[in-house]
Amino acid sequence: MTRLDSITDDKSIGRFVDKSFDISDRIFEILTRKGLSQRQFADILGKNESEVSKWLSGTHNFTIKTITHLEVILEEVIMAVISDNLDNISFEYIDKNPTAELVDCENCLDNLNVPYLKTERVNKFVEYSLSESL
Amino acid sequence: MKRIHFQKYSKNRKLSIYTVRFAENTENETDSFLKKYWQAGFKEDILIIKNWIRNLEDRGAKEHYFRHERRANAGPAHFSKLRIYCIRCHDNLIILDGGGEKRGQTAQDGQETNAAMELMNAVDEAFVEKIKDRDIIYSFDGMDLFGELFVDIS
Repeated sequence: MTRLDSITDDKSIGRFVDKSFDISDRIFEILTRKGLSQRQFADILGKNESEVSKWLSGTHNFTIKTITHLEVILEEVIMAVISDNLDNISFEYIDKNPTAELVDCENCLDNLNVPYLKTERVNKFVEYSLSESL
Repeated sequence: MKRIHFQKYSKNRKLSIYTVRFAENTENETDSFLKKYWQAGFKEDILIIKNWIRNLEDRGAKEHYFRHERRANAGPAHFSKLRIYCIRCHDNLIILDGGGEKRGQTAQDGQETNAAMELMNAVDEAFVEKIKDRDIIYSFDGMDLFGELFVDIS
């Protein structure tokens, strides 16, 4: 057993780090899909490449303002929050992702007991919830 | 001349972690670092490092997760007041060292971070030579090292 194994974990810190990695991976995946390098993305935003590199490190404490700005620039959902008003926040993105695969329902529903959806499943979840309500 | 041994630290589906140990020491540098800073009261920072490593194990050691300091790599880039150094061989294998408390923007700003960064740079140089000479070889899947699992550095 290593010393790392012997350290008792803290759930809050664990989830904090997990979410930060989720957000970074989501941004990295969008940039890769759009064929944008870190430098090109930095140029679009008028930022230094080091700033983008920081966002992709998995350990950046994003503000809601920064995430929202990146969502607008990238025209993609990076992070979503469960809300009673879910339908209203979803339509805009549904139109932009008409070919999103229909759902891995079980995985999506697993996330309903937390106040935060895993980012990569948001579009699928939204599409699923709409199809169920129609 | 100092002899530094590589020893397996952990292995998961996506990541093998080796650590380094000075020949004259019984404890490896990673555990020594964790013990020292845990006892010094950096508990939250150590827990962040624990979870940072767990995420590397879950996702692979992708290049963009690391801060590059010459040949060495460091993390976590943010959150923690501590920084741990490593050699990132590829997405599925890293060689972990110890580290120290961040004292500024660069490793050179702190005595311990600088020592860890310099050590990993020297180890990486010697390690690459051993790979070239086939004194150390990767397993077929790249997740294990075989051969002379040590390097000598001045």
